[in-house]
Amino acid sequence: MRLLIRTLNPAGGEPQERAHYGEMLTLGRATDQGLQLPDRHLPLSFCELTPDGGQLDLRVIGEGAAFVNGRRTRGSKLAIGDSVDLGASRLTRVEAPADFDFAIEFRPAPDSGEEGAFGAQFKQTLELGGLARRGPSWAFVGVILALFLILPGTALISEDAAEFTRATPLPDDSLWSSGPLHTSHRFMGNDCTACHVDAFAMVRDQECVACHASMTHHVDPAVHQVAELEETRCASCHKEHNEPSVLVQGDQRECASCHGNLEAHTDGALTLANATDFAENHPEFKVSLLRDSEGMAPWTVERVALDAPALTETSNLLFPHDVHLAAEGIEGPRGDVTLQCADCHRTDPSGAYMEPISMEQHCADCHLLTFDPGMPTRELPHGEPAVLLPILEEFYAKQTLVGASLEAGRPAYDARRPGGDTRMEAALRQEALVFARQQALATAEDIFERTTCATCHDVERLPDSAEGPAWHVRPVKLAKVWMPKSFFDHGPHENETCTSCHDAEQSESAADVLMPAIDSCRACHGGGEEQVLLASTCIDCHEFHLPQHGLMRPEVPGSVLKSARTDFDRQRAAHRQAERERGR
Amino acid sequence: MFESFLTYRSGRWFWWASALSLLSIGLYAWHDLPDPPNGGTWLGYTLGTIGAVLIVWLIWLGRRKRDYGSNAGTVQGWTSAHVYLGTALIIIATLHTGFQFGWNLHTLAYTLMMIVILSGFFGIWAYARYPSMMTENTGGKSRPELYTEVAELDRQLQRLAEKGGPEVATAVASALERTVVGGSWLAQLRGEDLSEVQLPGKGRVSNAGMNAIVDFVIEHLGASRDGAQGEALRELSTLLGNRARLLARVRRDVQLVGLLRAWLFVHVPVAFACLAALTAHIVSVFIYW
Repeated sequence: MRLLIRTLNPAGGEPQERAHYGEMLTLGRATDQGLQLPDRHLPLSFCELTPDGGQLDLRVIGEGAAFVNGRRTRGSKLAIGDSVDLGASRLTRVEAPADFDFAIEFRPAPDSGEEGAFGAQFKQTLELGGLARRGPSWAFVGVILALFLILPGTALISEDAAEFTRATPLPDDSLWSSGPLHTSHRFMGNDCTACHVDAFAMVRDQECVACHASMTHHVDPAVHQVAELEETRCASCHKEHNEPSVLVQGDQRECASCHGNLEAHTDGALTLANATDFAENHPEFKVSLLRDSEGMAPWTVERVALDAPALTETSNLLFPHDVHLAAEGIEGPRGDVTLQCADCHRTDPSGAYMEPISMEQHCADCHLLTFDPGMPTRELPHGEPAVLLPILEEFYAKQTLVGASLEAGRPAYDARRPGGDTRMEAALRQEALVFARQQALATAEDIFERTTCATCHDVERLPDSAEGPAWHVRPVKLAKVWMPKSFFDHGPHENETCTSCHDAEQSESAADVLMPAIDSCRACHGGGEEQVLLASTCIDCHEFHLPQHGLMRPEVPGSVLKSARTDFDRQRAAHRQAERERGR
Repeated sequence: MFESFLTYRSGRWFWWASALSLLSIGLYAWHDLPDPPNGGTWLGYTLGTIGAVLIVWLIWLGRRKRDYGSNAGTVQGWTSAHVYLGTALIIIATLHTGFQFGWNLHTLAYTLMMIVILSGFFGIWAYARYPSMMTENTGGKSRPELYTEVAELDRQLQRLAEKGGPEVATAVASALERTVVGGSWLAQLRGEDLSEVQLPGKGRVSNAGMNAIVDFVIEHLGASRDGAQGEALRELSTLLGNRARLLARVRRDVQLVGLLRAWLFVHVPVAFACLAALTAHIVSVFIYW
């Protein structure tokens, strides 16, 4: 049917007309009805109008009844002029204009405010009772924008305003902080603009390097440029205002994103092996071995993997760990002693690394530098053959000249013979010196090639020259840090035995490298995603900012934070001064 | 047949909102970044953008439902989407926070948003509960119809009161005149009866439930020696009782309509407060990026 609905305006004014096409017109309080009856007392779906020949058929389907011309009904045919009361709304069938089958006039129920003379005097709506929506809405908008955006925002316009709002209980820009600063940054207080210098711009690197001036690069930019490292801001990795605060990322995926395929990222400039996870993908450790370049040239460093077939150390020292660590003990000058690792290897004061080994501190107790069985208390200094030979000659010269205790067969001269020349005759003196030199050389040959020195040192006899025989002790150099590309702290490992990592008890030669291979660490340390063992990520052993690569971000003068920090330093100094004075 | 906005088109928006929520939860559980979850990660920005667009759109419903000429979907469809997507906003916005809360503007915006959503839930509950109570209370009659009945009673009361003597007539007239329905919003919501009556010797006293005037009429009834006057007073007290019951229904109707709509006076202003806080939130996080 084609139905025209003319809705009267209860407040006066033009009625609204609209067309309804369909099999029927539904009427009710609900919004999905063909004609909505804005009357809370009516059911959601109340009644229906359907065409029935030339007539309109009204049928009430919800609760209640309609009143057709004042007569209560639940179903009725409507003729032109019939009016139906649906609650407080009224519907009247009127003459249909051209192009329409039917037409109705609809007078909606008056708003609840218009209750007639008696009801109209009361405040019966919440609005009349003092509640409102529009006013409070605008008030809220104004108050919130003023307190939380405009007032704190004055900090951007002037420093005075920033200081004023921060010093008073007025809302300041600390309300914009999304979380507390890391404890190391709390000294900045609520001075947001110390780091957030430019509005609508991310925190710049120069504010970071104002304090962190010595932060070194990850790669050597001269060797290869890595775009990711040049373009990444400090704050991309070091994120503030989070809870929990994580300033240094332990996440190794960032590392793996490059180190998983270094060749591609460095255009082949790096020969480092790829690594993505300590447990899953990490090359065997490499040690830095010192190589004697046999000459005056300095020692060179060779990086050798611990699983390389020709892994030998060339410290030029002769030292069997197994003999020294023998359970039954080792013969010493004062009887047998049983040595422990810690008798020689002690950590430095930090507890992380081992102190260097020295002859005087660690060996000399047992390895006495005696040279003459007849004089077991006399020792040589620990030095070069060129230094020792004259000492030996002087020693034997004196012995020869004094003579009293020398072995039989040696010429003895009494320097105090009565009536004789108190000075030795020249020929005899010469003979004594020759004898002394022979004795010294014999002793030297013994200690350099068989006993004292040769026990520990690799001593080479040089071709005899005009001055006689000579020896060369191959210089000894022990590695201080075997794995300088990572850091290892002995401290947290102190409950392990030394030999659980360093296989010293089985080592017969100083050429053995006793550094533990990766599998030894993997017995306890798992990868980044480890669930059972100790989860270990890249930065547990490797630094990102490498000291050898120069500054990562050059400092830019005039950083705002620099002055803030200076202020802080001044405050701190004043605080200390006050503390001192109080103490006094 | 009527289709509730909750089940609009077989709960189409329920499924959309559920899908959006589950997708957000799934992404949140799956995404794994070095930093603690926060609004500044890629997912944080994504959820924040969705949340902000949703808030603006949800507030737009207030505009759309007044826009009778709009063809952009039915108001019912909008309401259905409003309810379900508004509920999904709880999940989206909470995940956007990364569960980091503090005494700051950002948490204020979140709190205001939660107040708006929870007041909306109260609205749904109110619309499910009060309309049937209203119909039950008034027996399907509209308030004007009830007032018409009151007016009819008042005419009879005035006629009878004159027969009850001048004192009674004055008191009844005062009671009718000083009848109050509604009042302040609090009085409406409490369903208080603030009616009063001026009685000789007592001054102006509360006439809640018409009790004072009925007592006064009955006192006069006890003292009355005149048969016709007594009859009038008896009938007067009966009609006053009827009037009290009728007005109680009207007050209950006012109370129920008030309870039905009260949530809107929280929902709408706080929604605008939330919009302002949201604006300040977005602007401030990018000022101090």
